[in-house]
Amino acid sequence: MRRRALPFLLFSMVFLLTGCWDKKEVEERSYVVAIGLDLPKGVDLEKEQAVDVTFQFSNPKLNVKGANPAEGAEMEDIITLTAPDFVTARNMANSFVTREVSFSHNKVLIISEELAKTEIFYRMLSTAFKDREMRREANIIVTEGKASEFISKNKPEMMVRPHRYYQFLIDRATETGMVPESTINRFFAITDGDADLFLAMYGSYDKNNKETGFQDEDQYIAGQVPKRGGNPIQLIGSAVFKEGKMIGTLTGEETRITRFLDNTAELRDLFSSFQDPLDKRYKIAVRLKQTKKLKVKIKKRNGPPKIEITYPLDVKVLSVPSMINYADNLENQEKLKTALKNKLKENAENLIEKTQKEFKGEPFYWSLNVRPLFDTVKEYEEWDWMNKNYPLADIHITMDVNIVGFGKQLKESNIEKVRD
Amino acid sequence: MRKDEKDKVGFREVLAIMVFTLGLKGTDISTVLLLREGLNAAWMIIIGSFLFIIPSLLILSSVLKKHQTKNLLEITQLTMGKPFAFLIALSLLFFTLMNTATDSRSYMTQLISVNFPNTPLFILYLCFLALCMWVAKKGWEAIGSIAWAVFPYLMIALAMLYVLMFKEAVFYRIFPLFGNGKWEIVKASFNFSSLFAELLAMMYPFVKNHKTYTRSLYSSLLLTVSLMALMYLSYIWMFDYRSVGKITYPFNEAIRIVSLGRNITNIETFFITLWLVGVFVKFVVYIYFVSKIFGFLFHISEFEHTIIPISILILVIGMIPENNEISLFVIRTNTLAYFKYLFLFLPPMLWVATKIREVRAA
Amino acid sequence: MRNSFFKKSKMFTLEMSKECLDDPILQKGEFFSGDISLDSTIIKQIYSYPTNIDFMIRELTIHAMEQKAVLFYIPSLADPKLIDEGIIKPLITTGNVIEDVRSAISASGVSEEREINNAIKELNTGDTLLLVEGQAQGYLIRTSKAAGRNVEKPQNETTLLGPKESFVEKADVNISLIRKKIHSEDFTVEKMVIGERSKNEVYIIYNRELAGVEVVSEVKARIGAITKDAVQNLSLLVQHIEDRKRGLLPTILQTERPDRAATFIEDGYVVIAMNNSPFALVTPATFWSFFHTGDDHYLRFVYGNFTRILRILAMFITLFTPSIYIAITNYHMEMLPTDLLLAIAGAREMVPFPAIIELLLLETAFELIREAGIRVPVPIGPTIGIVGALILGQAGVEANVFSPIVVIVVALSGLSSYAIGDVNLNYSIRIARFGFLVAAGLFGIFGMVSCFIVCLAYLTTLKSFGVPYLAPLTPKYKSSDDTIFRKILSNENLRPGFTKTKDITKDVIRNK
Repeated sequence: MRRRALPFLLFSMVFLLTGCWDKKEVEERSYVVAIGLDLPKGVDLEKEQAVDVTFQFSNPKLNVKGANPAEGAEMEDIITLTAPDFVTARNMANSFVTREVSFSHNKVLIISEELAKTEIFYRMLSTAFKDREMRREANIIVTEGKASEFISKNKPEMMVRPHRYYQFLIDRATETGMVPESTINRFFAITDGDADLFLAMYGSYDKNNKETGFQDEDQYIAGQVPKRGGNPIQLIGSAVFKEGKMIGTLTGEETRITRFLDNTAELRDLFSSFQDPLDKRYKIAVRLKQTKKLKVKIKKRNGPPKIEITYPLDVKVLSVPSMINYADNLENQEKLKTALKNKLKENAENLIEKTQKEFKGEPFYWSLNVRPLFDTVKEYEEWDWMNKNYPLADIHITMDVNIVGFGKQLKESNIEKVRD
Repeated sequence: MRKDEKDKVGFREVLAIMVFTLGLKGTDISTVLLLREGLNAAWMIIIGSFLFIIPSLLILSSVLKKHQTKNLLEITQLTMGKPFAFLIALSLLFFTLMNTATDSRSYMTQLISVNFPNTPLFILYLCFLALCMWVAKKGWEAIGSIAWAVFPYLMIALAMLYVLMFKEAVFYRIFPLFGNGKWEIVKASFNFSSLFAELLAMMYPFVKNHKTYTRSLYSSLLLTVSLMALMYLSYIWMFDYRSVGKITYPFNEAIRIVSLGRNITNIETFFITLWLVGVFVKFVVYIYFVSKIFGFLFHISEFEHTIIPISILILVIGMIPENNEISLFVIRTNTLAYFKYLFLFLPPMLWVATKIREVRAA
Repeated sequence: MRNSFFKKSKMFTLEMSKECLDDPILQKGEFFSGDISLDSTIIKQIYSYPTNIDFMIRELTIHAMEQKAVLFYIPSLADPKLIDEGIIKPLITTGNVIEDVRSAISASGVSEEREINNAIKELNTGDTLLLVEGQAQGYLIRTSKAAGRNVEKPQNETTLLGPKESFVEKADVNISLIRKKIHSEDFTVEKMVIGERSKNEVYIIYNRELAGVEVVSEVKARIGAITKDAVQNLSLLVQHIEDRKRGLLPTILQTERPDRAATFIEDGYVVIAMNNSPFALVTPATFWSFFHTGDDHYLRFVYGNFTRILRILAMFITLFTPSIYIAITNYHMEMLPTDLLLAIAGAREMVPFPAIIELLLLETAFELIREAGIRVPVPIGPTIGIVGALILGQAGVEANVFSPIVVIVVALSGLSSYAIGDVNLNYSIRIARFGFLVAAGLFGIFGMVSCFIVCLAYLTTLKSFGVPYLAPLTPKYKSSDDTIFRKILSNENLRPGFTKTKDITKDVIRNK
């Protein structure tokens, strides 16, 4: 027994005295919830690698009996520094942040448009993921101005903790379809696949000088939504990335259509308004939902391919301010349907044309539908969907619109009788 | 009524052991090799290499049936003479030893680079092997029992993982169906046919009887191959074939991405825990086999005593490569390349030798 | 007072040993002579009468036989009323001629004994020895009645729907409590005497047609191998016959419920009973027999399994919660939802100790309070203990010594441990918890998994009387698979195969 116990004792002594290499108490770290990346000022990127990194920390409020809780909340927890890349910025930050900077709870990566348009951005991002704490499910937000300002201007009203703010903002925005889902995993999958465009959320902060006047509710891009008060931060529309570089933007409406045309995107429901076909002054509010999958048929030909798309949508009419009876008048219903079809088709065609002409690539992830046409990766990649075929393709859209309901109120009240 | 006297390893235990030892290959660094060779058809390589090894398995099974109580090396000795058996055993020992050493090292590196970045490899490796050694010394029945005791829970967790991964999956990413091309897949399947090489070593255990053995062999192989193929498919579905090639540990990356709803997002530690349990079982089995072969080679009937020196040897060999990538791209590729012939051609040779002996005897 | 007592006892032993050495009559295998005065002198010497006041001699004359007779008994063990009414009265008052002494006594159990030593053995258990002039034999009359309590409700293994009686300190009562549930001629009780000096009786109870031969003989062999001169009760006996005496886990089940004991006997197990122990031992025991309770089968299928889920959950919570807390907060904090993480970090901001020390301190405090609660002589002891723990936790949090989350963790694991019914299993899990805690503190999840594997390897190699500890889970045996879950009763038609039972099916009797 004693002979057996001795090595065991020595063994455990060694560990008790030297162990705990990775041990770190929770309060010994600072948790970054948002990383902002900007182009640094006064550094020539051709000669030197550098980036402005902004960290937003979610610091715990001091939870001590007797201490005044209000004091702890006002801590300055946003810092900006210039570093070779944002992984090494972690250690640089420790020159004034006392705790180990941890990325493991990072929710978003906020990138300024300026940086996203340079070639260095993709290099920086793809190597950063060698770091074990970087998470692929974090979202990318591209901001119109500086990322550091986007973060610092952000004054969420109810939520004190920034990570909640980002979580809710992203969740809700993707549900309404105004912004795309833009996880880093998707960014890599699409960029490495080199056949589609990647869409990132597009955000901005109020400058109060860019308002373009009133439009339909989803025609804006970030920074243009007419509003007064509230948080200066807006998230609407999307930034288009081609081969890891940002090349343009889409409005909120275009983003919504993109997401309807993309089978891999999930949309819960979205409200939209259309002109009333029978009384042009008014707008009908509808709820759009896609219950069936989009069908994409691609025919390989000698020239540019022919693409036939069946675009299914379920429409639920929510409000009819013109007070026209659509619910039990089948003729009117048919008219409404045709009008909706034409409008939706027109919107989609406009967008497709824009992508073909302007971006020379599609953000709908249709390359997935191209793939089954090929047996091997080699053939598929040589055929080069994005560069050689899509911009020239002949695309036809067939609408499949169903009006599935008229809300919980069947008829509008008869305005004439009310006035009487 | 009182048949269950012998405490030998039965169907369930063998099944669990085989699924652990083989199935875990779908989660380690060897996925990189396969995904590099096969791109999005890597899952076909799994099935293909399984098909390659089937004939020799069938032949082996029939050979084993003739010599009910003997293991592979004993049969070799019996049919082809001592020197040849010695040679086979020596090369087998070399292979399993190298395999165990590089594999265990690579699993530890995987654990370190994802979960324990500051812990020295040597310490973690030492602890790991010491524990495996201790369990291996408990004997074959204990290993089987441990494997079976944790098997259901691991399978439940795995099923859960698959469901969660499917939520993140884009199924069209499986296309173009044949990846690098059909012929490439066949070639790669042949090259990787020693993926299932452990099965030959599986002849050793004291399985209850031949029927149990064949039953467990086939069912576990089918289960493992389907699980592994599904795992590779999930990687492709989640990351796409170009992107997955850049990831060193697709498994770890996959379990980081999956989430249970919105609030419980980071559940990788849960899966890592169960994965580690599997890894422990796997290397306990490996160490046991290596010492068993060693025991045969040098006529040590109480081969359990060799477990300690062999574990130390594994530790030493495992610590030699400078980094994990060397062990992966140089050592493992080479051992896999050469030793597949052993696993492919030994069973037919044995069969022929047995036949010849039979004819002579008649 | 004490002084005089000591003196007395010294004198007593001295005197006795002297007599023992000197007296040539006292030899082994001596028989009754038939001469009362001679025999009673011998017996008197053996019991050092009259120094020893706990020994009675009653001389009388049986008129019907016209013979002298003498009665010997130990008043503290024998029932004086029974002696009076059942032996003395009939012998003295009868008018008829007595030809056979046995027929003249109205006590229930009478046997004849020729050898003095054997008679003394029985005398020591409370029997009365009757010697009649001219007969070279003694009559042993069963009159034993030691002081004891009545059958009461079980204290440790309470159930909702099961019978409400529990074993008491008398073996014959215990045996009858079991026996009344099994009306079968195969029900066998064997007696073994251990302890050279104190002559303790051990009863081995089993069903002759069901219990495996190996287990029965193993039990007998192990009990027979005990060389200790006194084994007072079962709690001590267990430690002589169990498998791994230094091991963490119990390998013999102690139950205080006669209905559970009867169920085990019907499944082919062997039960051991003994005087002075308000419970019975069940051998062989598997992990599952400690995990199960009586209620599992008394409750309906769904409810029974529900309680089992709760209990296995409680076991896991007890075992793993503190270590998971340490592993996650110290090593894998990405696992926590951000809000929770910040809550923990905020609470820990002012705490002076590392989390592991904090947890160890509080766990130790909880265990101390628990132990103290058992030693508090009133039944409200445990309640006071829990309240004490909570107040301690509260004050510790107020003073920033502990963070509130650690109090939650400790309270959770501590309270869950009360759901583990078996006392022995309870202890082993509470001890193992500290092992996990230290392992998690050293290596996070890796440490925990290592510790888990060690436990599993230990469990799978552990055997109780030759039966694997985790059977029938692994290795597999033919059985009704009553492990974590149970089947519906009509499907539980197999006896557990690992007991090597002679008849494995429960429906039709096969081996008769």
